Amino acid sequence: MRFPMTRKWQRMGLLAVAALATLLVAACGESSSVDCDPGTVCTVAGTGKVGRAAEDIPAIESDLYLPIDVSISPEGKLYLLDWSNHRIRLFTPNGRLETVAGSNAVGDGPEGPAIESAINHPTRIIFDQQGRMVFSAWHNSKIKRVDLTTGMLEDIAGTGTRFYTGDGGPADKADLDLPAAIVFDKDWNLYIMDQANQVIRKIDTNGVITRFAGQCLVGEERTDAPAMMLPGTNKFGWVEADKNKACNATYGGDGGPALQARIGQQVGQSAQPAGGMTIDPQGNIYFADTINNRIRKIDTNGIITTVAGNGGRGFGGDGGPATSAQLYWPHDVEIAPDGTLLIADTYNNCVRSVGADGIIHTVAGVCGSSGFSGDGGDPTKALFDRPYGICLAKDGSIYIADTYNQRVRMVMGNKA
Amino acid sequence: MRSASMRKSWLALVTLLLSIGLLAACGGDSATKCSDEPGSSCVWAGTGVAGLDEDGLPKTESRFYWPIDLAFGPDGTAWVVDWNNNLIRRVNPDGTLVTEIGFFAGDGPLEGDDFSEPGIDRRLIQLNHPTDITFGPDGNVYLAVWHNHKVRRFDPRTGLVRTMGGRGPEFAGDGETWNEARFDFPKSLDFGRDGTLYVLDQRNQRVRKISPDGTVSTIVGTGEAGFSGDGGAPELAQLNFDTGGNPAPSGSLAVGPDGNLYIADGLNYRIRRVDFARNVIETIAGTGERGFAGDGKPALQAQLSSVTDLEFGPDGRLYFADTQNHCIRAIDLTTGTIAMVWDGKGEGPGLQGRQRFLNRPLGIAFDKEGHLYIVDTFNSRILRATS
Repeated sequence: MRFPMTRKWQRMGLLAVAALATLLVAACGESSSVDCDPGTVCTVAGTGKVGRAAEDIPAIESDLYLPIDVSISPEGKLYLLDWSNHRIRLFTPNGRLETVAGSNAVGDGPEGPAIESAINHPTRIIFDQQGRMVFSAWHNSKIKRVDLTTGMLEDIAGTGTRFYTGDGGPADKADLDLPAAIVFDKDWNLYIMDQANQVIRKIDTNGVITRFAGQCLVGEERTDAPAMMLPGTNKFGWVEADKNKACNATYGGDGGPALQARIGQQVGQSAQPAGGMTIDPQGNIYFADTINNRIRKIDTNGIITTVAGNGGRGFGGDGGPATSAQLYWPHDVEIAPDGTLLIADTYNNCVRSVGADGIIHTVAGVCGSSGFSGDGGDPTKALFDRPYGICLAKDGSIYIADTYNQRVRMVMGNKA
Repeated sequence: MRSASMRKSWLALVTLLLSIGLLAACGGDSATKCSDEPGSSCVWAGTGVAGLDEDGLPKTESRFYWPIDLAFGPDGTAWVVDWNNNLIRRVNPDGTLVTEIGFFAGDGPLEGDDFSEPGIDRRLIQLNHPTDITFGPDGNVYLAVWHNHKVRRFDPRTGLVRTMGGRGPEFAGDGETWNEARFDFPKSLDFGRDGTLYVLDQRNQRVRKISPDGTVSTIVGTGEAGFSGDGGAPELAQLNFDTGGNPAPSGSLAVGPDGNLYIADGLNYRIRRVDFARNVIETIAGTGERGFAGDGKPALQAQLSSVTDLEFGPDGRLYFADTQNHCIRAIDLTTGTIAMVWDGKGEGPGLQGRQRFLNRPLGIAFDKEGHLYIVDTFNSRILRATS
């Protein structure tokens, strides 16, 4: 009776506790040691104030600036993307924060020691086959890599120019436009949510980049003639199309090949990083189709479908089929070992879950209400403010980047 | 023979005295107390730590996040462009700091329209990396909201903010009214004596102007980054500002007491002047080679880094933030020589030791009394120096 999450998940007919405790496939590992009762929510970093904290002070006494996500390395270390401080921070074993990438500036580079290299709004961290940290430097329009043993940083994809070029060629010569999320498949191909290009791109193990899902169509779309590739780009349009215009965000293509589908991610001046992605053990990719208010899935045959959200913007549908529910600008997804999908339902200020039965529930936050409250208690009674990122730990704990509360919070797992 | 309790009292007394002493030493530190004594200087605002605090704290106990510039309004009020907090802050007469415009990073209001009259409440508008502020002859406050690619106008009488063109980064609107204008990272603003508003349009590699009748035009720059045109017409000359997908704030402009326009030509490592009477642009400082040299010598033989702010001092000299050289320098326009004003890496009067080190200062300002203010951007504080 003490653990509302357990009750909820049992009600859902899922062996969530056992599964989450024993299986690990997703990007995350173990949680760090925090004094937090199982099934409750607590703050693990941030004071609530915007700031640029000094090194090596306790995480819960460290000011953050729009923390956007956390990630756990294969060996179980927890990393924090302190988005508007333009740096990546490590939770040390004694609960302090230490910068591992990003200098005292915003900018791009130079390559070399990661803590002397400026970065611009990093959004997502994953780890490659060698255990190196790979991150999307969203506002640099690059993918960067840090060798954590040497501390050296290098650029691995994107030229830094925000555009759409390079498909079929080497990834380091290609232009990306706001790469927001990244994920590896089991063969170590890298997938990039190329947000402003409205596509997912893929870099194979030879370093060749191609389009994997979505289409970039520019200008007014016509049906009387096929779109042509605009000269000098990988964008498509019709004769009068301006190649410098943004790719159209729209919705379409469910049930068909992902390459023919259309997606909707934020573009323009107020764009925030969107389109979080994850992959399940079978190799199905899930992503937040943010302004379409949907979660979509690309299966291993390359077929795209919607798994949550009916497209309507708002909050609704808990207890019913996820595909009939409403989301509000979801920004991140994670998949649990048992197949449960977790959704950062960002503008609803909550985290939702979709079980294997396809039914949607709320697991943290009061959807539709923003604020900061509830630490130490039931996560579904706690308030959040636009959580952008979620990360699932080995023990079933859910880390939540409670972005506008300038905190990282955690729903403690129920591991016995 | 003292009892334990007596020893405890002694201990308490000693602790108390020590605390008072420490408090006096810290609170009353001459380094942080501003005085009008010649040669003195102080930390005038900011704590040295980047962050954001609630409104109403004393300005030396309230944080900025990489402040970029400071300007004094006609009534003497100090306004701070708090770059990475994406806010315009203001210092109250009692020395407390408050947020005047903005509430978080973004572009415009969440609801409503800042492109049409009457505008949007100052605290309901989001700014993205504002870089400059200047005061118009019409009583309005003008903002270069750099990362929004917009020039915005704030009316302190109504508290409303209105956007003056800039629907997306582009080069457009020359020959039309400001509603149609588009800028690409407008970095710096200043008013001419006739009410013309000059705009350094960074990624368009141009200086634009908005005439008093509201018409927009280009007055310097071909649009292509480079260095050329000295001795010729300004509109045929090339300027060079940081570009790319996410540039750093680059360049600056100021109208001189002579009515001419002075331009910190960022990546040309020069300062240039547009002589309106002769319709000619020329270099007044910098060899074009990036470096740090030439103090005490003709400014034309000096090496500069990328300069990001220009201000005319009460002594008539042109002061500038030599940002990457971590110092403030000045040019005597009558003799043409350049001199060090505040060496943020070395010795000098006023603040001593680490306290006087600057970390990429991006802005400077003078108040009515002639004090020099240094916006020590990456130390998130503002210094004041009395000459």
